[in-house]
Amino acid sequence: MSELSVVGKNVIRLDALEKVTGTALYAADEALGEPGMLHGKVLWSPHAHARIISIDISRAKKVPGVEAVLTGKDVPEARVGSCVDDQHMLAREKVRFVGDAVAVVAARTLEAAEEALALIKVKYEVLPAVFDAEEAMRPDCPVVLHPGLSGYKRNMYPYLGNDLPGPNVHTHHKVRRGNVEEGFRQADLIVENRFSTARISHCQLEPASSVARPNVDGTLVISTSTKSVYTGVQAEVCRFFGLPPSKVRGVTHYIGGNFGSAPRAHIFAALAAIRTGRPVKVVFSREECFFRDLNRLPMVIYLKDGVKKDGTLVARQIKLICNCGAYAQITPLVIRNGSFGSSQYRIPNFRWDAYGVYTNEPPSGAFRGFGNAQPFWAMEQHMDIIAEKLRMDPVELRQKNLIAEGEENLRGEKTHSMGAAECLDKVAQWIGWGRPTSQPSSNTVKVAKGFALANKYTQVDTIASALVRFNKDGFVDVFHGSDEIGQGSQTVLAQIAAEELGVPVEKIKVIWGDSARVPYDHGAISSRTTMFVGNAIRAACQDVKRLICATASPVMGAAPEDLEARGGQIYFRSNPSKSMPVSDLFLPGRATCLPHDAELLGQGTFFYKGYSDGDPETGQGTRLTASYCYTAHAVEVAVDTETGEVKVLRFCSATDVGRAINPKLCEAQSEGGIAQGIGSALYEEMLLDRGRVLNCNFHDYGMPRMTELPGNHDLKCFLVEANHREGPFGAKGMGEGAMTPSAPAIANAIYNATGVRLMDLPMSPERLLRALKAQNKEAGHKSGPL
Amino acid sequence: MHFKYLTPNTIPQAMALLARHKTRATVMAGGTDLVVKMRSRAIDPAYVVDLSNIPGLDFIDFNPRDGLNIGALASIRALETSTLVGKQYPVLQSAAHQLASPAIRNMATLGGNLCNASPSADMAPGLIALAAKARIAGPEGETFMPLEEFFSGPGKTALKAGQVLVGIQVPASQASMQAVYLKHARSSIELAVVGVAAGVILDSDGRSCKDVRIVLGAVAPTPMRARKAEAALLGKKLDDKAIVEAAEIAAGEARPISDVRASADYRTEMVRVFTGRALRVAAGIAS
Ligand SMILES: Cc1cc2nc3c(=O)[nH]c(=O)nc-3n(C[C@H](O)[C@H](O)[C@H](O)COP(=O)(O)OP(=O)(O)OC[C@H]3O[C@@H](n4cnc5c(N)ncnc54)[C@H](O)[C@@H]3O)c2cc1C
Repeated sequence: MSELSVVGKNVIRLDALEKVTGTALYAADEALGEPGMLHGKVLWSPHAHARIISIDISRAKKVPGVEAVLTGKDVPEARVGSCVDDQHMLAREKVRFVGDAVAVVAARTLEAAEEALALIKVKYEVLPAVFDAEEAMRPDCPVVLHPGLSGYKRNMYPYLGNDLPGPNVHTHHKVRRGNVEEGFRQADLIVENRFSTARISHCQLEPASSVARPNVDGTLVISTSTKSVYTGVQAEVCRFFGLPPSKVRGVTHYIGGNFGSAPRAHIFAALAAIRTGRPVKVVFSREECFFRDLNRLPMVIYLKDGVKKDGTLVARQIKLICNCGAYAQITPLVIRNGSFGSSQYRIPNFRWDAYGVYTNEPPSGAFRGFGNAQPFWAMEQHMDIIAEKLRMDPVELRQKNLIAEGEENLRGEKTHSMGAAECLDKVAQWIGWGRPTSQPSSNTVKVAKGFALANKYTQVDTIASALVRFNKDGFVDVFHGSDEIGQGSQTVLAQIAAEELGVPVEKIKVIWGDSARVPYDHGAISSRTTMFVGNAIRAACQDVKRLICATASPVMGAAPEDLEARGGQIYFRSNPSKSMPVSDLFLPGRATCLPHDAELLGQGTFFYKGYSDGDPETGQGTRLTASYCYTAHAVEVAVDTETGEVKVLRFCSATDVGRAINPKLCEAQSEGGIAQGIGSALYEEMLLDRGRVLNCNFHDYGMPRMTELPGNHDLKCFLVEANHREGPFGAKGMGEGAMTPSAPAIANAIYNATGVRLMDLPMSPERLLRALKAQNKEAGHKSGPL
Repeated sequence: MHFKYLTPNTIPQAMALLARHKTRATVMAGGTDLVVKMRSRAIDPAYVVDLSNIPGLDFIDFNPRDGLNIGALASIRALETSTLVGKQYPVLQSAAHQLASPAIRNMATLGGNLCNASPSADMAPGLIALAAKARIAGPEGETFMPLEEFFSGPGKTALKAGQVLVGIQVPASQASMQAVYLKHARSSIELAVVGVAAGVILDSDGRSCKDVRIVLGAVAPTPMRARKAEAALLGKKLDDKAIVEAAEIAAGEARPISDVRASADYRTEMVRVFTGRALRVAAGIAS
């Protein structure tokens, strides 16, 4: 590839100035003080499982300022949902979790809405509930959340509804390769364990905010905090309310973080707006975010591995029981895509059975890593367990089993852009693997290192399109449909356009966030924006360059193919010293108009023609994913064996990003992932008491603070660039992989420090202390020194 | 949530307002506890009487006769940064430093921390170890009360209707006490899982224990003294063996509950660990 001028540079974020000066608009800024706007508030079920006997709204309706009080009777009869249509927008006959929506009030003031909410009288008949996924999964579980499940409509991957072992199981995802029984027979060592992960919250700083405005022309304009104005807003609202796409417009501004949360405040705003004909704003509180955002899917993982004496993995069997909560939401897809992670090692015999189970807990969903961090919690601890039993170095064990470029992985895909080995080497070297720790252990404080390797795929079956307009003043407008959720993708996309057109990045304007104004895109999900939208924009830039040459052809007296457009000039290929400015093509006095051809408008689309969905019975396919991003983490921890406290002393990550379009932004993703990874490993857990969240605020929920993160010199993020042949300039997505190896890396370090292996998340001081005591007892010691 | 916001300029004015509105009124200082409770609807006062406009209630001064006098409106940040406090009663400076974050410490007051009467209030154990007294103003005039008697339950104090806390006094004699406060929490911004203050005055021989106080936070309905552990140490040589025993006794005295931060068992165990650690530091055996 020739010399790059913008790609690979630490261009300052396009939104930096707006954000540091406080002028950037966020969803909650929408409609402030707008005349006629109503405030919507939702009444949530206080019961985990109950039949609704009656709802009395008569007193609520009389509160001055109240314009509408809506209940299950006012919502469409048909059930709706993401993967499975299993839910009414407002509960009709039953509530199934603490936080199920029962009624919506729209009022002229927030106070009136709250007052009315308190006056709605609901009579419930409380039903027995089930909270444990393994209990709920049993064929004879006495509590059945959705007796009508077999008749529910499935919107995607319908085969996930085959072979369900119990009435509360809505998803069964299978992967088969080779023959695991045979594999285990060949194995010299078999390791088998049960692991579990906690329910955690995204804790994005901005709580969901939505305004729905019915236009006089019958269009519903929905302005909301989302990661996808098309799929997350327009398509969903159309489906939920039976509206055609022409009648629903999705709009978004900057949003204060996402990490996979999908609170859907806009559904309640839309419902109330349709019923009242007035604009309605719904803003969730932090407490509401905790039970409405679709938390990280808690999993119980049974893992069995078989290896040869020399460390060769011969068989892996994994069974996952996923606590999806009261409605399936996006969890079937999370479960399916969570299976891709295991492809990083060569495993000839592989069997995966993952079950999505209904329980009376809040619904779960997508969370940075999309179902991959949970299996890695088990798999990457197993690699260390195996290495120890075989007396092998754990780095070497992993290197030995890593799949190689060009090799067919356990899903039948050809491996490409494989930077995992280099990631491992980088972190092992920085942390000083095999060398003494940065501080010695004492009687009570044990210091050690650990690491893990993980990854995150990018989903293949999505589409991106883009438009690019070249203006007379040399500025370029780039239109696309993927939203800015804080990750900095607009800057990266501008760099891609600038590089392709040969113009300075300052001349690129990126326009996004409105389904009425930008072309279709699947949204800022699955670490796909850089690759998919980047490619679409690149194609659109190439298209506009062709158009420039074609338009210049008669003016310059040369065939289009003999001309080249670059940096606002059109050159003769045969004689690059002769050129003409693109601006000369335009009509005098007009910004964008050409004499004949309207505008210099290019368009581009990116999608995979040959992708395959995977065989329903075996999960085998040829192109299931677009790209893999590998991440290795290495940590050094200090464990206080008297209190169970773990301090992360040093942390190193190495991430294979294909190519870093903007290295600083990649590092920022890595650092954020590390913070979230430390939180998920050591502190974070939503505590539920019979389905009710006990710690739904930042005071009681254990998000890590600055003080829990290693400082500048003790934190290092490497970027590895195993170019992807289909990525723009070799880039692939990387944001989601940033936390997938953190928890097992820390667990491995804790084991190396103390000899205690924790299999349940989070590794709280209390849990670790209990394990240390149990270990002491086993070893016949009395309780440790004071 | 509807309330009237009242801003008296003197203590008598404040007391008059409290007398008029009785239980429908609540006092506010920095508001860092109160506003959280109002927002969560845990309380719904009709009148909020903000003391922060009352001048002269944020003093910190020391004289050899009375000891340390701190006004109820002195901010936690002021205690943390006061060289006077740092020099005479470093345990209070360190407790202040371990309370919340700088932003909260700027708003939070000492009076608010004590009157909020949380079992985990970080300023209470150190002050009780130093035998501090609460200065209370009320319709019947000013009274003093040992701080350890000030707390009567979670969120409850001995303040009677119409009374306010105006200050805290720490006896001059306690300046010779070697005292520490250890907070067991993930970071200062988190509430204590366990807080332990230990204060020791050694005999002239420099070895045996002339006076000792062990005060536990977050492990009982109120901050509490571990009196049996204290008794076990009094007059004894403060060595490792005595400390291990006292720590064990203190753990037995604690009456913790299980909540979102920790289980009762874990808290009990941490009382043992942190009482041991605090006593070692106070005795100069460890740093
Ligand atoms: C994010 C956060 C972190 C925190 N972390 C900690 C922590 O680590 N440790 C800790 O101990 N606390 C912590 N707190 C609690 C709080 O900040 C402290 O307790 C603080 O000192 C309270 O002081 P204030 O002036 O804000 O009290 P306010 O909120 O104004 O009042 C608290 C209570 O005391 C009453 N009151 C106040 N002053 C008087 C008076 N003079 N006479 C009579 N009654 C009075 C009020 O009526 C109210 O009931 C935290 C709070 C927050 C929001």
